[in-house]
Amino acid sequence: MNPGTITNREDFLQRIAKQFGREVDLTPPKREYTHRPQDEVLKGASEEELLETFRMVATRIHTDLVECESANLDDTLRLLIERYDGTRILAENDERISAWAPSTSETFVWWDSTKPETSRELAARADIGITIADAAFAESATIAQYAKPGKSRTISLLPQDHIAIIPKSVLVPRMTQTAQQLAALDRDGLHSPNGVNFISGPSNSADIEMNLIVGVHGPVRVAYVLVHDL
Amino acid sequence: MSMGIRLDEKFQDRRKDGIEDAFMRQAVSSAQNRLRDGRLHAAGELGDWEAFRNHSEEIRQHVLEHLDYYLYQLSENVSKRGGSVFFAETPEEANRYIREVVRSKQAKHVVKSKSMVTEEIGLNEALQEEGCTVVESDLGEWILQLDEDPPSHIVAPALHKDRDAVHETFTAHGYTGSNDPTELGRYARQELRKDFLKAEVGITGCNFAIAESGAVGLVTNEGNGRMVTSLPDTVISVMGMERVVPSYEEFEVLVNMLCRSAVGQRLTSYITTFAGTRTAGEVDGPEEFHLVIVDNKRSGILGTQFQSVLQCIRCAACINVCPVYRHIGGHAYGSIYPGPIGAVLAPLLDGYENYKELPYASSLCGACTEACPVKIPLHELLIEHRRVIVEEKKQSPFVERIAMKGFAVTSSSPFLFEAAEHVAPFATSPFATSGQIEKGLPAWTDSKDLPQPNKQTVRDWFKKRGNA
Repeated sequence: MNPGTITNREDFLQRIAKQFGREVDLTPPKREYTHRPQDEVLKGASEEELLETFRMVATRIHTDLVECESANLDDTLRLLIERYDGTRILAENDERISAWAPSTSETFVWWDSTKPETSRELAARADIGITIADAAFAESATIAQYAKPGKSRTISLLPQDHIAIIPKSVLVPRMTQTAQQLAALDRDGLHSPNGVNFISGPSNSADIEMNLIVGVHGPVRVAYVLVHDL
Repeated sequence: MSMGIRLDEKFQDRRKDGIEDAFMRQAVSSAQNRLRDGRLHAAGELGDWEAFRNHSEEIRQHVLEHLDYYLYQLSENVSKRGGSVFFAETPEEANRYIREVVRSKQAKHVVKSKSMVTEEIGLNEALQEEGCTVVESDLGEWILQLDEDPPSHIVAPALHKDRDAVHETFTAHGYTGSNDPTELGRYARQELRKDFLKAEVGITGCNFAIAESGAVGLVTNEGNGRMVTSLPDTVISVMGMERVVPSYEEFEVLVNMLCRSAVGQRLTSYITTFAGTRTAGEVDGPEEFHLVIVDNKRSGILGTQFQSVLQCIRCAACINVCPVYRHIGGHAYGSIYPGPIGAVLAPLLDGYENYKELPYASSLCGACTEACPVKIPLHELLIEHRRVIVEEKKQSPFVERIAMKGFAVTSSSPFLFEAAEHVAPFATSPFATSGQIEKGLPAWTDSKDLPQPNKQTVRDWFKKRGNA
């Protein structure tokens, strides 16, 4: 990848340093914080307690939650698709779920990044998008989807409904733990994903008279499928 | 629409308009209540809220003290990830650069997600001069754009409009449905979807940029931030220079505080980060990315007694607890930044000449300071503004000058304090009829009939009480 240009930086930074009465200082500062309350939230919670929190919050944020074993994933997804009455389905291509080969629908398509035009077009027209979460947070019933080669930023965005498969193994107490992992990847040489979508339920707005409108630009309905043995 | 920080009209007229608009006042009160209660609830759920405030404060202070380093690191990493970085000292420089990018892409359709800093620099007007259609995609912002109305709250910009007003606006745009908010929302979804899909350029603001990652982070509920950064081939993000954090770890802390403080949610529906351009094997995300870092008088605040205002994470918690905002509404402040944060920030970014009344539009009750998740001493900064206006700028009303001068001297002299208290009734008496100050005193006191300072002073009263 070609590096981008940087314009006017020197003057800009000098203006800052001058306000502090010093020269521009480019030595990495030591970050020594006195407080660290984020580690205390849900500290020592058992897996069952984390699951309970996740379930409770998912309901609060208008999200359907279904739990299953990988052996039942096929049936579970089929039922959900039926319930959402979707015909055009676009699914993220991930080895953890590629064994799941839906035979029911001819309009089911796996995301294919070698066909950019088709994939973009499909994302814009699909009724249901299916993704697999890279992380999930109990505290806020949030899933994280990483933007990286082979993955899509739009499957979980453009279709009217979004089904997110969540392997139980990616569940952590809160965003803190994932943030630590991402920060470690950056310190290791800028290896964090090209982007992360932290998603908590369907899109919504309270811009008209503070009334909650569920389903604005992003998905109108979201289902989490928690797979216990993945 | 607003051009820059300042709204037109004079403070007096705006404030009067605000007080006379019954719907607006009712809407402001109920929105304040809901947002405030939401914040308190979300803060309670988190556990040690004070420890989170302390940590958030120390993160923001650390960043400001090393702002040159973190902006250097951020720009290096954005560049490594294929994005270009433009440092803009003035709004003109920022707008010129963005116009050049838009021109080079021969773009006709620009779609934006909510951004205060682009309001601040008047970007929409600049792009319209370039011959582009610019669509605001946040539902509240879109309503205002269709109506050519400025925002009145930094989180809920269309707070001052009711469903009938929105219905009227949409009907003029071609809508045929009812005034039901969900149905209105669906119409916006359907219309704006077309704009997202055809836009050549997407423009976003930036809640926090992550220096170590070269990433920009956006906090939304509607998903428009995701649309704007995933669909157009060219994406431009505009950020105020102070909105940087060292790493994902600090990002996480501040995003949690922002969501809880702004809307009472544990996390909003979407927290989106994106770094540079898309890589091989990616189909969506920008193939060209520009980050524009705006100073616009912020650097002048560094190293001064007002530095802590740059800790602000734009959550509006201070606005949601402010009794003055409740009374006069957002437009009355005459700035795109209303409420206590606006009263502190607007004079610094746009000069005392235009906002010398704002630091007086406060009861100094301190509710703002207590609500602030990054511990900005807002009401102390307002007092400091008043001092500067009176002592250094000599711009305050005559009566205010007497009062403020008195305050500075008397703090060390009990005798003078007593004398000053006796003077107050005389200083205001030319304006008073029947014990109420009615007209003649400019600015804030004009908004309601204040009781005249009592001729019996606190000391007199205490003495009498003691003797009784």
